[in-house]
Amino acid sequence: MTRVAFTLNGRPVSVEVEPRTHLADLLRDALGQTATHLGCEHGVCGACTILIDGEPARSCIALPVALQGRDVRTLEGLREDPQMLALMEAFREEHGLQCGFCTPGMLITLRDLLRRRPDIDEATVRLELGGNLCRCTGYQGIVRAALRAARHPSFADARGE
Amino acid sequence: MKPASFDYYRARDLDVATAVLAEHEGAARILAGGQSLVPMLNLRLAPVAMLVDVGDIAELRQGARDGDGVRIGACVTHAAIEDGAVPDATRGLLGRVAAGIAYRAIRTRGTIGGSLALADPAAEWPVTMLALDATVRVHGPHGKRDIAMRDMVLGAYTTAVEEAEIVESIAVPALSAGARHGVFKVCRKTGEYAASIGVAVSDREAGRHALALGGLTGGPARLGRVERRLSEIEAWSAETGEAIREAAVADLAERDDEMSEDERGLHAATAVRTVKDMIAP
Amino acid sequence: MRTTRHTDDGGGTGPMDGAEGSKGIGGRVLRNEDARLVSGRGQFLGDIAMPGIRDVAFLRSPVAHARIAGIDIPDDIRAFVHTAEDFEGVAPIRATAGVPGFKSSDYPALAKGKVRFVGEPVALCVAPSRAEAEDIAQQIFVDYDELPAVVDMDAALERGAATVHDDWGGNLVCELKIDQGDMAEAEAAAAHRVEGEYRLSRQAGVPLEGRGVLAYRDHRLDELVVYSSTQFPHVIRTILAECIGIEERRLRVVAPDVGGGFGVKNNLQPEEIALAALAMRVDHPVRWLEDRREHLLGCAHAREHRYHLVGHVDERGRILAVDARIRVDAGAYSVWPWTAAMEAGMAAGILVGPYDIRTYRARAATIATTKTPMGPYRGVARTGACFGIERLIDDIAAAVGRDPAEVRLENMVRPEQMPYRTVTNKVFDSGDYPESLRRAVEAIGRDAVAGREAEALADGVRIGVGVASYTEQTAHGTEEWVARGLPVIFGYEPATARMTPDGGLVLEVGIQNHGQGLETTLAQVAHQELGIDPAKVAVRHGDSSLSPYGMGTFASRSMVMAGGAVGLACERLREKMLKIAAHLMQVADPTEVMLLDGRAVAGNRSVGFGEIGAAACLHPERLPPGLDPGLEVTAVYQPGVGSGAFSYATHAVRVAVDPELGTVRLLDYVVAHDCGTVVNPMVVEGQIVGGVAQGIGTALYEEIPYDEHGQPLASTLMDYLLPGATEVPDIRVIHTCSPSPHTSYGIKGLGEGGAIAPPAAIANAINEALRPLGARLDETPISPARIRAAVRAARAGKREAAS
Repeated sequence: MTRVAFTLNGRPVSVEVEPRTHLADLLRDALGQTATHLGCEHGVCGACTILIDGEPARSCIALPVALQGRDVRTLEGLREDPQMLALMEAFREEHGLQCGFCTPGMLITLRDLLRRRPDIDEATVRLELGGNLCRCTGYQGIVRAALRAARHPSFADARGE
Repeated sequence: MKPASFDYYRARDLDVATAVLAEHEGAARILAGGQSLVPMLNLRLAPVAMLVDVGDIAELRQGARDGDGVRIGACVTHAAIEDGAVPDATRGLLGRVAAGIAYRAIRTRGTIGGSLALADPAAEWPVTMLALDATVRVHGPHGKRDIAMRDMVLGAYTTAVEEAEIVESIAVPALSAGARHGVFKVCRKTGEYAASIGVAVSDREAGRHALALGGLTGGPARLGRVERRLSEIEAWSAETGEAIREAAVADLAERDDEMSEDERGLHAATAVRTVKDMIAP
Repeated sequence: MRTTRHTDDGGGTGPMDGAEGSKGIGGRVLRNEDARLVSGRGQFLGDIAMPGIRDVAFLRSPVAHARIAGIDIPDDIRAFVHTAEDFEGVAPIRATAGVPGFKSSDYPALAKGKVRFVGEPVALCVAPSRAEAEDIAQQIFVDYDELPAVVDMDAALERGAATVHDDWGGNLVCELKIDQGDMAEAEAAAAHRVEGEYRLSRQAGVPLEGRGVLAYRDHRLDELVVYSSTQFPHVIRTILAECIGIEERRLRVVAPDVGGGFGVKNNLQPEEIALAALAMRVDHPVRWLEDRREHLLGCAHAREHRYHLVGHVDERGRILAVDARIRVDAGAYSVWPWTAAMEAGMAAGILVGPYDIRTYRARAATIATTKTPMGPYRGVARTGACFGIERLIDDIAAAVGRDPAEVRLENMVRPEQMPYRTVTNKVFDSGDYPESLRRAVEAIGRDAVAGREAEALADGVRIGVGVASYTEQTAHGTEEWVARGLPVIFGYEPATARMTPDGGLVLEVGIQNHGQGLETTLAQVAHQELGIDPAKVAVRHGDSSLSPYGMGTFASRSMVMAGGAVGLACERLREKMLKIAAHLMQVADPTEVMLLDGRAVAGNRSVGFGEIGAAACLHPERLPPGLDPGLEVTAVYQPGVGSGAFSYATHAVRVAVDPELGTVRLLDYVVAHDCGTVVNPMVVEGQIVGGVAQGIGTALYEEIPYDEHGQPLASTLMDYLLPGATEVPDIRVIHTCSPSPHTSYGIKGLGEGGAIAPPAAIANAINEALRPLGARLDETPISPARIRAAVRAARAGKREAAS
């Protein structure tokens, strides 16, 4: 077991972990943060996407032992974030979720995308969603939700529009 | 789907890292971004006793101008290259290749050195660096040495990097202002490993023409006959395409006479489309 | 059809003209379930925390077919390992079908004596964490005496093939025969004989959340509690109780939030039995979470059908007869309750599609192999049958030199023939099938179809258009399930409607909502009857201890069945509410009272639902004399007929095929669809589009191939490709509405429909694109390698013909 200290959703945490424990298991089992879901555990489906130092990453293939001093943020830590709230509302309005299992990973990926790429259009959204699998929606509602949220002031203002 | 137990060592510098690697005699693996290694660990496909984490070694995370070219640290992420966070001397080729690797959440963690050291036959960096005549610098128990990309990849997942050596950086030569490049990948879906991938560079000023193909058994390859044609091409036409195809088929047959007709056709098509992407995008 | 119902949507003539803005039937109401799911507050199986819980890992067979000569478990881990011999008294899964000659198999929770597919559970390992449980599994040595694998379904029937089940004397599970009309006469009259072999490959269902089971004993209630990521908790309780030998009253099965099901969570799972049996033997909670590799190897597979079809047609392409030889690779065991026989029987039963075909012969064989058992997956056999008949029709069109759409129109059941009884005794209840075809063709671009455009674009890319039509039997009731000979007859659904003292409504239903939006759409039905805001309706489901016994969510049944039950319960609840309200307002005649926006209104007097609820629950002194207190109704609904409500659609797609690379791009996709009365257009469109995405997966990407040793070659998402956002185009949905005459509100089911036609439509489009090259593609997924092989074969054929 190795002790690791990092920031989770703005608060410091210090935990003992086995080197082999991946971040998603640590978050879900030891820290009770279950908004992060596991869909494949080999880095393909995107359901476990979270933020490490502000950038999207797969928590199923990130090792907490290697995250000493880093900043980790999950959907739990973004529930009050105006941009995330705009995305959540857009997901509801555009029926961007059915079973809801892939949704947290989708939201984290899209929030990052909308902050990073002001030139957002449907083709870009689809391309950038390539690493997040959804088995229910056929992506249509998700794409529409992303385009809807991109027009929300919380993103539009950030782009200086 | 959880890994078997392993030990973990966070290396502060390369000397210590190589010492730990040497000590474990092949049972230790280097952890850089972990985007290929950790999935293999989760699937228990890669038995490992010790992970040596080089992610905190600052010098590996930097990219800087190096003469005309650029030297990129092994732990620079694909995303950093995509975002232009390291200098570019390739007229945008590196950024374009980086942006096409897997998905953003992989690119933010995956590293250029890790990709080169793993040498997945379908990966972008080995074929790109081969086309650019880049040089890999490795750090080992006996110091540093440089490996030209032409000598780097020996086969699928096999490189000239020795057991206790660590990829430290890669030196990418500059392309001239008028140089052009092309990239073409055959993937069944976005972000998936390519069945075939081509990178072309044409730098008339420097008199350098390159076409490298990946996705081949045995690692990426340069196609000499195609490259000789590149210097002659002015504009794209159907005839140009056929000439490239013929040259590519001959190059591929020479390299691997057991290649199936299907593979040869596919890779030759990739060669044609890569050149076309360069000349008539 | 009932027409007299309360409606508050602006004085329309009935509930069916509910506008999109309404909160009742027809309204685009945003979903109640979204608030928790979108914020990551859903509770999926793996999210349930429980003190002292231990994780389970299964040791699974690495070989396809072997006798187990011995299992060697080191002493230090023996206490944490369970094998079949530790589960004495636990019954295997034994699904029996009413099909004559059907051969049953015992599918044990843990392999006994023999293993019959790669991935079959052999031992169960318990540890504080999953990682440690996997460590334990790695220390077990199983001595396998390997037997020849049985991999190809056709080869499995050949003399000398190894047998999957020793006592069967062969690998044929059963064969269904249909003989209708005079085949010899049709053959003699035919101008053309068109023949083809059409195949769907084996695939997985892949809900994003894998399966999972959590079990513990609740000593206070003296019951075993089994949480399972299942689509039918009540039915699972019944069969699980039987398998582990416990009374049903002492077993509670709960499906929490379920991350997608699509049919593959609609079987009794060996892991459910194993975890339940384990929980009876240990003193702590246990859980098993299926990982993705286990899912691809061990969860029921789908789709592996082969169709050898002969169409006898006249010179216009009018089908005089179809002669079909159908084979289904059912894998090693029958899944419960569906049995191995269901796929082939269903395929034979619906092969004739929406067409007026009166002479039909079918031989439908179900074959056992040493592969993962096959079970229902969205569309079940409809996807294969549609692929067969719709590919045949395109081949017929090519043979007679007509437009495939014209040939379809030539053969389709016409609206004036409704209700129409098919040659296999299915009863189409309502609809205008040709209209859906015309609309889809028009939307995709009539010129494209009529002009047979196939000009080569840059890089030799070719364009093709394809269509496919189908009917989808939904919400079939008692009569249909009895005919299929299943052990449980899924003929009804219940609902309890209960008004709380403060005027809110709780609905308890026997279905299970896992993405279908039923927590909203059932509330819309309640609104239709009671005028209550859907946001004030709590829909409770997925718990065998909560609602009356119900069947679950599958077979495109929940909206019709549970919707009907909610409608009935609320209608009866309304009668009582009106009596109470009339009394409270001192109105003599309850029929003068209307329920509107949470209030009971009579002229200028009104009372809120809270006052009605309070009177019923807290103040019996305020009730009319003789009226019982309480405000709760349980109703059970069965549709007017057991033969189902038939939804239907035509899909049309335009593709670009690169013959050199073998890649396919979907340029445009149209669905012209009719599912009767639409309860919530947003949800309906979501179901259609999501189904199409899965159908695109079947058509182009998803496959679990096996090598000759019976080893599956796709066990991760690196080998098993799922369509992503760039692989699924924006899908255009056109709605028409032919209400079912047999169901409440005229609703028809639609959950599966989207996944039925894409393989056929896409294959037809690709074949049209490549026809000038002479290439044919008749097997899914139509991968780049298959396309390149077909193009190469066509070129070789041409060279040969020229020489």
